Amino acid sequence: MSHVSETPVESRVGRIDHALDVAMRWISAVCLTVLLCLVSMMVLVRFWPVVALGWEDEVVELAFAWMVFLGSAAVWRSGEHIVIDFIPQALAGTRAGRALEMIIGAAMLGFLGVFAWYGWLLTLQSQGNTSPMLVLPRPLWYVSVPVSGVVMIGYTIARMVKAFRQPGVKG
Amino acid sequence: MVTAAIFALLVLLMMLGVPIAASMALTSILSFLALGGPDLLLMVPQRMYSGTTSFTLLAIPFFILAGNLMNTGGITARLILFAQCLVGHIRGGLGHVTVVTNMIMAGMSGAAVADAVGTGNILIPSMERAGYPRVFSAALVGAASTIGPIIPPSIPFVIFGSMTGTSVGRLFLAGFVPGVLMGLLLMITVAIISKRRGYPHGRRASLGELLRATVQAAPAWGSPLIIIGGILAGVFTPTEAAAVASVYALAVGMFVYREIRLADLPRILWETVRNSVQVMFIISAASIFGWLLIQQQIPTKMVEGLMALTDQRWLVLLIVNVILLILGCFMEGIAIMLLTIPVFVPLVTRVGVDPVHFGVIMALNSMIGLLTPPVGMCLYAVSSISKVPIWPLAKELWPYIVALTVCLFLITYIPWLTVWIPNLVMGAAR
Repeated sequence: MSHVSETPVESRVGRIDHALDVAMRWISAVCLTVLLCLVSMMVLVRFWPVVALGWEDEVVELAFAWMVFLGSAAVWRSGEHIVIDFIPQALAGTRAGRALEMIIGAAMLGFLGVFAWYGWLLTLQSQGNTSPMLVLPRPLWYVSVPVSGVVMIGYTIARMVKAFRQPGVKG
Repeated sequence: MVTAAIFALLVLLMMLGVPIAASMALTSILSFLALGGPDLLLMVPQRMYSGTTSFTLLAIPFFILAGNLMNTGGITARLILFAQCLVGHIRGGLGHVTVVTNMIMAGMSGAAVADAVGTGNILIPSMERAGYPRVFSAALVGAASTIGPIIPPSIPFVIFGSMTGTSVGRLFLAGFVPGVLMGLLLMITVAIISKRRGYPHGRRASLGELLRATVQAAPAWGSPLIIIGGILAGVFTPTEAAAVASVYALAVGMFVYREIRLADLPRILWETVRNSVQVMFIISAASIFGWLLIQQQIPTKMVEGLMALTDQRWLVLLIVNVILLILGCFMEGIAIMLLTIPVFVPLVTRVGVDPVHFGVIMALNSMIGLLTPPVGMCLYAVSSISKVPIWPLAKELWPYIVALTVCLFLITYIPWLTVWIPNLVMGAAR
């Protein structure tokens, strides 16, 4: 089999993909750590009220939202979201399988388009509001939705392109 | 008509291989477009956002984290050793060890798949060395792991509680007796199979060995005490208990057993995020789907339809159980709960079933679904760690599935088994 060399564009895409993957994993893991520390601290403070919190609910929601949505995007990239895959498995490597890949891709794009675009509108709607304790802009919370949506759209398109180009498809 | 179309679309998308979360959300989107126009679409991100960020649901990643920390930190291994000293000498000894280990682990972890992977990685190879066929040990590990979410703490109970407003503490307590009953029925099944196939029994542990194993496992016992004691005493909410249990498992793994190194933490944290978001993203999508069902008044219509057939409590429970068992063969357990709670909870409460009792029925039913082919998450997990293909594994599993189904019907028709402890501890419901 001949070695297919990467074009400069592909290698740049590959680097971006890798960096994005690492960033998403790290950010969501850090969010989980923050959540663990905060919730444990909430318990501690209840017994030894040395500091007055009040802002913890805001940070918990922020970290939880980013963990779930960015983490979902990272899991979307690796194709590890829960799927019933006996039909795609049975058709893998055939022309029908490739057509099915396109249908699945289109369905996912349909959902993600609404998720990302209306998520963006939701973010815009919240503009001007701030959180009560930390006085942070509210869009910081909601923008996790369109950001993860856009990333998932990118990976869905990449998956469709890969499936379309896949060599050795039988009839 | 609308109801049938909505469900047909959902099933079609899922069967084609669209991720379950995307199938639920896309079905909702298309239904909104067909029924109300694009104005409703803003509900999609709104509900998906608010549906995942509730404080109660935060217990899910923490319970998964606690399980992962226990597996990496040596707690699981010590518990297995302890169980071996306790029941290893009975015929089919390691089989009983598997069940007992899972019953103890159940008191600390809330997710069946994590338990299956944690105990399976250790027990399947050691059972093979002791002369058990791999398919037997793999099937048993899968079956025993379903005890995890029934004995508290439990992710399905957290989800049921957060969706129905039922007290999670009460649900946790209600799981005790059914969980122990599951363990006993599985042990009876192991005994019958072992006798028939002439499986070996281990050597009886000396008193010294038992004492040593007990002492070594002692720090592991702290976790269930913290979780259950803390929730019962009203010191923490389930979410806080889950966080404290994670910190405890981390401390034991790092400082007592010294098996977790700082360098392991990023991997453990990422694995926890990955396992959690697989569930959370479905919960997120289910909250928009649930909103669609309610907006279309589908639960009310279905309840009225079923009530027109019968209002006998035993028959309603039978129908509900059979529907859930059939769905369990084809869908992921949490997704089934999320989809059917809005329909079934109003139905069973109409015929006088305590929601706490029903929560346990649903959780146990979805646990059986984890084992039944073609779609069963525990079946897949155990198959992947043991390298036993799905179908032979499923064939080996059927006696355990029968045992668990017997348990399901016992707890369905003897409500006392579930509601006795919560009523005793927390007072009668309403």
